[in-house]
Amino acid sequence: MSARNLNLTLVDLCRSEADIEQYHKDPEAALASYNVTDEERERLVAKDMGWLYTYGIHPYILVQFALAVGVEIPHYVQQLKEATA
Amino acid sequence: MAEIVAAMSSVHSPLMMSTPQMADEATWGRINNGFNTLRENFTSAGADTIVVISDEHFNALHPRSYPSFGVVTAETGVGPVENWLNVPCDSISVNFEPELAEAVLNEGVRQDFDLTRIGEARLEHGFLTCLNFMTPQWDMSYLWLIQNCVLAPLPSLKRCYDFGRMVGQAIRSWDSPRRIAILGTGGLSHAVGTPDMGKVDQQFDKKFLDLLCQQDPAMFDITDVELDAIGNGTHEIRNWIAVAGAVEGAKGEVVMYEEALVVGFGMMQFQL
Repeated sequence: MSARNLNLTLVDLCRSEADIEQYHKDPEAALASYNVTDEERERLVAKDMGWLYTYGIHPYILVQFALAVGVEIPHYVQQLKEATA
Repeated sequence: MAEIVAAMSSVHSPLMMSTPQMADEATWGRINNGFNTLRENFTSAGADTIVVISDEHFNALHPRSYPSFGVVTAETGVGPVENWLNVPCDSISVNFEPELAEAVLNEGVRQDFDLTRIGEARLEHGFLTCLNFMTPQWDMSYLWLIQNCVLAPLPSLKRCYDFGRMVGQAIRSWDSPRRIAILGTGGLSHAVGTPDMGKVDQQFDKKFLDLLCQQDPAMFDITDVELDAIGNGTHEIRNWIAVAGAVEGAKGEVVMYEEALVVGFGMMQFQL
């Protein structure tokens, strides 16, 4: 996997209302049908936006994923600032 | 023939729908006044169709296959795609204008524009947010033209102006009695999804609005490096520039501008 592929995966995930709903209850289960690496899965489950940003996820894709899974913008920005400091 | 009776642009900050509480009552008063001004302009001109020139944010289109200039040719569209807009997904349905879409595609070929036919597109905030306030009943016909403002390399500002000019000519050549309002959405200065989110450049915005309203070609000298430094969302001024191209020669006026809802929050309209 790579950031290029994970970008495509996150777009698919965000378009699935059912998967996003499941993500709120059980993120591991929501990601089960998607082809992601172990590290990517770990960071996605942890909602580690700083790591995902530096990994190369497109900002538009990342922030909408964050909003979809319940990360509030101030917390999102703080994570990015800490990751890029 | 169809006639362009109104041309305007506005920001499309999704926070207007998702988290309106981020702006206070006084700010909302000014925002609503702005939308009322734009709406009054096109309704008093008898507009029955709105052509929206916007980008989209990987909700309607997929990065697996991404056009520079897309024409939605579907008969209808539903949305929003986003589950965080505070409106149930796919609860909004609009009638598109496929005949006008074909007219734009054909004019594009005549003018050596390589346009992409988009046969189906779900609606997302680039299309929805301004219209949510201006045509909340969704009772007009719409055409959605999508410019790439999000996935580099982006079309140049001049190319977007020329695209708009071509669209204007397509509309005026369309054998139809329709009265068309053109709406550009997006911008102004803002950063999306980056550590700079929340940063706005009022000086740039005011300079850009002045150039736009005067149809000053100096606006094409704004570089992508400059736009990147201001904030990646600022690339959406391409949509405002395309509207200017559609009504080439017309001068504009700023309807409102202030910093609000995480963007340089502006609206303008051309005097036709």
